[in-house]
Amino acid sequence: MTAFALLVLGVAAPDWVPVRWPSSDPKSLDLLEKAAINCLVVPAETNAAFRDAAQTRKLQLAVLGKDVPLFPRNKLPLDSKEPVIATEQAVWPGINTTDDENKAMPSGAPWIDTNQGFLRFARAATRSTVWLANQPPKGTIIPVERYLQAIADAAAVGARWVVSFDDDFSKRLLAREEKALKDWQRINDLLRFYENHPEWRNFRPAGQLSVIQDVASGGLLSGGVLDMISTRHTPVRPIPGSKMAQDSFQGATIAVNVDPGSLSTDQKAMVTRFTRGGGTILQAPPGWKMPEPRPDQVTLDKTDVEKLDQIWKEVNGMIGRRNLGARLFNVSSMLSDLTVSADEQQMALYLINYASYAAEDITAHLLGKFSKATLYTPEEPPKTLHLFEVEDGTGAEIPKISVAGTIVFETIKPIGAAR
Amino acid sequence: MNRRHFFAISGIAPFAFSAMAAKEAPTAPVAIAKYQLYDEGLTSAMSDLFDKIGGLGFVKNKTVTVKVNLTGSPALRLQGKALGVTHYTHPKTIGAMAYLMHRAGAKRVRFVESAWATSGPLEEYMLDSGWNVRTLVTAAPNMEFENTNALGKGKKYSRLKVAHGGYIFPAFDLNHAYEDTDVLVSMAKLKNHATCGVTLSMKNMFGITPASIYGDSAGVDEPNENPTAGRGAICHAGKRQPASCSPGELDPASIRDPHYRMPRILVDVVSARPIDLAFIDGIETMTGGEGPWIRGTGLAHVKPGLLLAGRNCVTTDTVSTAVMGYDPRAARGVAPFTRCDNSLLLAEQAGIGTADLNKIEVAGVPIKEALYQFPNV
Repeated sequence: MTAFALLVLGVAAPDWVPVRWPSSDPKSLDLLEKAAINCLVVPAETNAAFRDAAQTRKLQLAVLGKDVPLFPRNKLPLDSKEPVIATEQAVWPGINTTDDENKAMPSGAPWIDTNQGFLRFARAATRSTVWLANQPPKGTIIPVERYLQAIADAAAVGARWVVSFDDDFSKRLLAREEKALKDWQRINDLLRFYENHPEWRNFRPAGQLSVIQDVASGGLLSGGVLDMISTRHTPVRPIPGSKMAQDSFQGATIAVNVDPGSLSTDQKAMVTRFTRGGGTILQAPPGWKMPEPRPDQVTLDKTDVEKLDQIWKEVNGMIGRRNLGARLFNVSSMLSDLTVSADEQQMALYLINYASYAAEDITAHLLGKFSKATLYTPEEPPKTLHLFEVEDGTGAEIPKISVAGTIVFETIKPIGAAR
Repeated sequence: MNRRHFFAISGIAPFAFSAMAAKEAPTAPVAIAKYQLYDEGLTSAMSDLFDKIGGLGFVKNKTVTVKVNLTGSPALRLQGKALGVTHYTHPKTIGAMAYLMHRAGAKRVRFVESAWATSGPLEEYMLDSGWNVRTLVTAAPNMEFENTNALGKGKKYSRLKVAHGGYIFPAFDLNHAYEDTDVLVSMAKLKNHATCGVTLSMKNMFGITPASIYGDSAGVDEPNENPTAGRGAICHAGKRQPASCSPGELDPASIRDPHYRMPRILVDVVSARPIDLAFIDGIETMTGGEGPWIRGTGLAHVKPGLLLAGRNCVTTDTVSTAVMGYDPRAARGVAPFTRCDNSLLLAEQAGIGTADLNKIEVAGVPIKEALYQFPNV
């Protein structure tokens, strides 16, 4: 691992902001003059002139599988001491447009393909920063919004997407085409938006709903119970079974135990104490078990979904209209994440819009009393939001989110139950 | 298929019946206004519109229930546009309506809708639609909202009988709001409809049927107070009957074709719960269908820049259909009733109102000047 080498350059490995750079021409590095990028993911055989030029610009070079260990998703070493671990197995985030040709009904919100469920679980299970090194689907031309969504999808849950361009964009960017340069600027603005707030990375997941899960029960798969709960815009705190401790349940009122059979006697006792303390546990029925993920599996397959549906209806019914930390309205094209600072004085509500158009007139109802809320977006200076009282706490109206935004709520008193 | 069914499907029956019933069906004037924007002048434009049909004096000291049109999940948008400019009632028209009703002396104004696949508070559904409910409720005092997809704030359902006996259903069990009111307003959009050709003030009323009883997730015997689906199986397709606690179909063996059933059911609904004021927003809308989930060509966001209102829902919808460039008396097979029976003629036959333009007084902008051609559907 070249973390030591990187420290020489003054940037710790978890702070690398990586791009899969599409050129070995030293002159191409001019494009990184004012970029948020500080790490170039390159092939092992990169030429010396390029390496020298990168070093002059204080850019870290990283070879996946060598400088940054690379794993199949289901083999990610969650107990690793490496500062960064990477996988190339990720979904391409965005609204899933796959549709039943025969269906023309006024149905609900579209499904959003996301890596967030798996990354939420990983964030709870490992200290390493996770890199997603997947590339755009082959043979496609990707609108800039999709790049921005991929960046935000990972960044909002503490991970990083290794920025990677389609061939068309690479070509246009290297040729300094005007539109490509503008898009490149937007990409860097978004990266910088998250990098300018490193304190947010130290916030921990908030909310009253916990999901006890492990790798064997699909924690590292996309499209699972964590993603399904996210579509309800309900904050959720993953508890990896292997990391469960008594304080894991602090502030939780509901816990979903996806694989009760895998818990040790001590862990079962913790769950019992949680329920005796007034918590509600939703256990999978006896004998119920998610199929063991295949080594190459990234998302739930049809059998898994059918299996999961057996407990999803219960979970969905239990969540209902409850405010388990935050309720969001007019967010059908969005996903969200709620985190809280260590001193419990601030909560950060991440919003990511996966539509190709801006999301407007969003309403958030947060559990608890808050004195101030500030909306941060990549495009505009921070803006103070008007707060108002609602039945279950505090309301705020967010006028517009193009791709990503974060609202930081400041509390009147420590958050406690809304942790 | 019996002879009656054959005539009904072929479109002959409505034509024949309408010729007989048109003499008896009542008429009422319809006002048309041109207005282009959802802006501050809208209230004044709507006030002028209502004045042309005699004003709103009839709401003084009355409870007014306003059925808005929030069809389909708020998650579904046409090209990402705000719902109110395509297929939902626009919130600005609701604010203006509330203000005008209050100004006319209404005791209480209650906005209702059977929100898609939920029995949660209507205010939350409106928030999900991107509406600023906090601002909206300042439009007038004594504004209420109720989701009529289930019991809501009522203790029991109200059984309202179909005045003309019914084409499909003899009566409906509805949320109390449709009975506990003096005045019923239907606020619709000027739109096409995939099953009924057009959706105007009458078709808007199909949404008063609670999903707890008439929805796909309705209970077999009792209402399901937490419905989670729309209303395809019972009314459209006739695949099952409503919860057995409520009146079933007059003839469960009748035709199951939605294009036969739905025009009749919406007339049954309007007959059971008459509309006292029909208001149609055609400032901005969509063509080609009632919502963005409809497949096929012709789906587009358009700006006809029109408002229409009348005290009789059939005359109002008849004039609106004409403004859309269609013959309101078109037989099945002719746009907009290409695949369905003509609900206007069925309503005329039921004695609700005339669908004969020659018998309808049009105030304000003449039809030919208001004409905005919708596509052939």
